[in-house]
Amino acid sequence: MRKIDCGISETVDQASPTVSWENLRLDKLWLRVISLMQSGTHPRPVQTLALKDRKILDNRKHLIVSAPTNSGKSLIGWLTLFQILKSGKRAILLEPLRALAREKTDEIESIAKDLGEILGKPIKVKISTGDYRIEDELMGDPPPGGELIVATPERLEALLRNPMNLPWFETIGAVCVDEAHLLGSQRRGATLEYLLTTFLTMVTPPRLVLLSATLGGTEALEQWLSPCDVIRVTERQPPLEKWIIALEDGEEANQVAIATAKDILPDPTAQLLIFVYQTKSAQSLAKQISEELGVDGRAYHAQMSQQQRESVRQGFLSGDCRVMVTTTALALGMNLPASHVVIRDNTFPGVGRLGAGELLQMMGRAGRGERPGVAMVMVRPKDGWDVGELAAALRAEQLPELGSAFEWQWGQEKVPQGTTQVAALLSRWQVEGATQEKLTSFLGHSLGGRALVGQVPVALRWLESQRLAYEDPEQGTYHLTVLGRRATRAVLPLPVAAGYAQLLRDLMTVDPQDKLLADWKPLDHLLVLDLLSERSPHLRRYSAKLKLQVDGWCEHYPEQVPLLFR
Amino acid sequence: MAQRSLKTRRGELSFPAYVPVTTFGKKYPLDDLIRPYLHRLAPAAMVSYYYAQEMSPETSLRLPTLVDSGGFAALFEGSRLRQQKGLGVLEINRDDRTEQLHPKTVLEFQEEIADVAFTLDFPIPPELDTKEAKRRQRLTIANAHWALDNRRRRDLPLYACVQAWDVESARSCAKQYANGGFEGIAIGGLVPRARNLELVLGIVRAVREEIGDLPLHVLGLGHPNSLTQLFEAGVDSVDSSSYVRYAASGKLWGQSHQRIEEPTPTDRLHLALCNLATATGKTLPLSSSQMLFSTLRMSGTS
Repeated sequence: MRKIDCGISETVDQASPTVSWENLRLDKLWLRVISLMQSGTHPRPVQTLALKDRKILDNRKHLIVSAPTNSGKSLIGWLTLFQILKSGKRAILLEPLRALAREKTDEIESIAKDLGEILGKPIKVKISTGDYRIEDELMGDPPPGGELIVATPERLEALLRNPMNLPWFETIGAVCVDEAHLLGSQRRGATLEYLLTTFLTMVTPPRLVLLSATLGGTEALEQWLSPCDVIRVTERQPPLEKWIIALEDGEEANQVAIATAKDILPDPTAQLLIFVYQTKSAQSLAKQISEELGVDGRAYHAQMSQQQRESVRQGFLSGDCRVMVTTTALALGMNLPASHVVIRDNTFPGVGRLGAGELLQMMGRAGRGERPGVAMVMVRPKDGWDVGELAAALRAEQLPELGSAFEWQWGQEKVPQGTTQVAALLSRWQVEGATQEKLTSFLGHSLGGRALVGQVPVALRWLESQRLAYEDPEQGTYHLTVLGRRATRAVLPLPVAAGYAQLLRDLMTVDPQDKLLADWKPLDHLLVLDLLSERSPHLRRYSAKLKLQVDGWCEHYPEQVPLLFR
Repeated sequence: MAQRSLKTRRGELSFPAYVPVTTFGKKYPLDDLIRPYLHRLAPAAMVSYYYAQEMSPETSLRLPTLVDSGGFAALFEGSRLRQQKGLGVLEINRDDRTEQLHPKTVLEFQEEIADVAFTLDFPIPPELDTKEAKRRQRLTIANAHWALDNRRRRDLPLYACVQAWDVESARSCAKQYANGGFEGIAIGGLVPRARNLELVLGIVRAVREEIGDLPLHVLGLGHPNSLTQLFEAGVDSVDSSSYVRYAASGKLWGQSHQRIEEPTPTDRLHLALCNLATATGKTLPLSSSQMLFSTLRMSGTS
C-alpha cells in the first residue's frame, strides 16, 4: 500500500470579522431572518457575492450557486424561498434523498413559528417524499402565509402526471434544487431535467435556484435557464486534505480500511465515514470495525427503515458512533460531522468507475467547523481508475461540463430515450392528448432538447408497440391506453407494465375459458411484478423449513394462495 | 413585402394595429359592455397595470392583451419618484395608503397576465425642468434594462419605453435600447404633446431611425386624425381610449359636428363599437349593427 498526496483544497478566510451581515445592505427583515437561522455568524464569501454583489433578493433571475460543502450556500437557497413565502405563494425545496428531505423539514419546522412572525405571515411546512405524500390532501390555493414543500424530484414529478394537480403547480413561486449536479446523473438526471423543463415552460415560470458543491462547467446550464445568475466560489473552508491509498495485489481493502480507522480514532474528536458499494459490505465492515477496534461502528444504507437510519444518524451526530459505513447514496448532502472520509470502492461492477465529481462530492463530507478534513480514496490494481490519472483529477478538481442526462443515456436503455417523459406528458395531457409537434415543442425546451426531440417519434412508436399509447388518426393526437395511463400514474417502469400486460394476454390466449385468470390472486400480481422488475431479488434458500412455512400459510389462507404456487 | 407582426401567446398581432384601451373594475361600466365585442373588432387590447389587477380568469380577454406599467401615475398629484438601488420606483398615494410601483412588482404581474408587456417608465410632462426630465429618462432606461434582464417568461414580448422631452432626447433614449434584445419599443409621454403633431412625428421618426426594424408602439395616441401620419412615420401600433371617450360624450368619429345629447348606455355602446370599427377597419357584427337606429338621434353640436 502506498499513500499519494493529492493536495489540499484551496482555503479562504471565510469569516472575516470586518464583514458583517449589516455590510450587505439587506432589508432589516432579511437581517432578522439570518439572525434567526445563523445567529452570531458572519457572511461567507458565497453569501456576500450573492446577497451584496449580485443582489439576488432584488432581482428575479434564476440562480446557480456552485460552492464547496460547508460554504453557506444553503442559506442562499432558503432566503430565495422565504422571499416567495412572503409574497404568499408556494415554495419548493427539492432534496435528492428522503432522509435529507426529512432533515431539512425538521430544520425549518423548528423555526417556522419565529420565521412566520418575521415575515408577517404564518408559515406552513410540508414534506412530500415516498414516505410522506400530499396528493391526497386538497391541492388548492396556498394557505394565507404561503407554504413550503420539501420534496424529492421523483415525488414531485409523479404528482405532475395527474392533470388534476396542474393548477397546484401554477401556484409555485420558487423552486430550490439541492445537489443540482444530479441533473447529469444517468439514473436520476432525466427526472430532474424533465421537472425543471416543466417549470421553465409554465405560464408563469417560478424562480429556479440550483445549489451544488460539484458543478463543472455551467455554460449550457446558464443558457438553458437564462436569465440566470451564476454564483461560483471554489475555495472551501475548512481545508480538505486529499489522498489516494493505492493497494497492492493481494491487499484486502477492508483490512486497510480498518487499519486506517485504527490510526484515526485515537483522537477522541475524530469521526470516520466510510463509503462502500454494497449494502452487504456496509453491514459486514461496520461489524468488523466494531469487533476489532472496540468502537461503535454502524452501517447506514437504503435497506434500513427510516427510523433505523435516523437512529444511526443521531448516533453519529452525538458522537456516540465513531465510524459510519455507508453506501454511496449518503454522499448527497447529509450534514454529518465527519473529520475523515475513506472511499473504499471507486469502481462498481457493471456500472464502471465513479467520476471525479462523484468522488470529490464524497470526499467533501470530511471536515467540520474549523477542523480540516482528511479524505482518502482506495484504488485497487484492477479498478477503472489509474492512480496517476485519479491523482491528477483530484488535484485539479476540474469537473466536466454539466450536460443533460438524456445525452449520455443514449442507446443504453431497453426503452428508447425520452419514452418515460413522453408517457408522462401524455398522462398530464390526458384529456386533449398531444400531437407529435406539441411533444417535440415541450421537450425542445429541455437541457438536452435538440437530442431529445428527435427521439419523440421513436418513443411514440415504442409506446404504441407495447400497447401503452395509441394515435387518434382523425385528430393526429396521441393518448395513453388505460394500461399506459395506470402504469404512468403509478410510476411503474414501462417495460414492467408492458411485460405484465403481455403475460395476461398470453394467459388469455392459452386459456380461452379464462380459468387461470379467474384464479389469479393479488399475490400473483406481486410475484410477477417482482420477477419483471429486474431488481436484485431477496433470495432465501428454499429449505425444508421454508417449505413448511409456505405450506402452512397456504393451508391457513386457502382463498389467497397464488396461482403460481399451486 | 411580408406583413409585419408580433407573435404573442394568444396569437399573432398584425401591424399596423389600432389597439383599444379597456378597463376592468367598476369605474368605467361601458368597458364591460364593449369587451365581448373586442375580439371581433380589434387585433389586441391594452389594459393599464392598475386596471389589469381587477382582471379575473373569467373576465380575461380572448385576444392578445397588452399591459402597460402604470407609470403614468407619476403624473398624479402626491406621487413620488424614488431611486432605489439604481432603479426607478414610484410611490403613489391612493385611498390613504401608499402603493409602491417597483419594476419587479410590475414585471411579475405582467408575466402572469400579459401577452405583451411595457417596462416601467415615467412620463415627462412638457413643463418639467430639464434636470428632473433627465432623471426620469435615466430611471426609465434603467428599469427597461432591468426588466429585460429579469424576464423569466420567454414568450412575453417586452417593449422598452422611450420617455423624452424633444426629438434629440428621444433619439438618445432609443439608442440605448437598440440591439438590446427588446422585442419592441414604445414611446410614452406624447399625450400632452399631441397638439404639436410636428414634434410628435419628429420624435417618432428619430426613434424609428435608431431602432431599425423593431416593432414601434405609441402609447396613448389614437385619434383617427393623426393615425395615418403616425403609421407613415414608422409606427406599427397605437393604443387609445378615445373611441370610448368619444362615445361616452355621444360622438361618432368622422362626424365631429354631431352628437347625441344625453346618450343612453346602448347609445354609448353602439357609438363606441362604431368608433372602434372605424379605427380598426373592421365591420360591425350584425347584432350591434341593428342598434344603428340610435345614430338617427344624432344632432348638430353647438
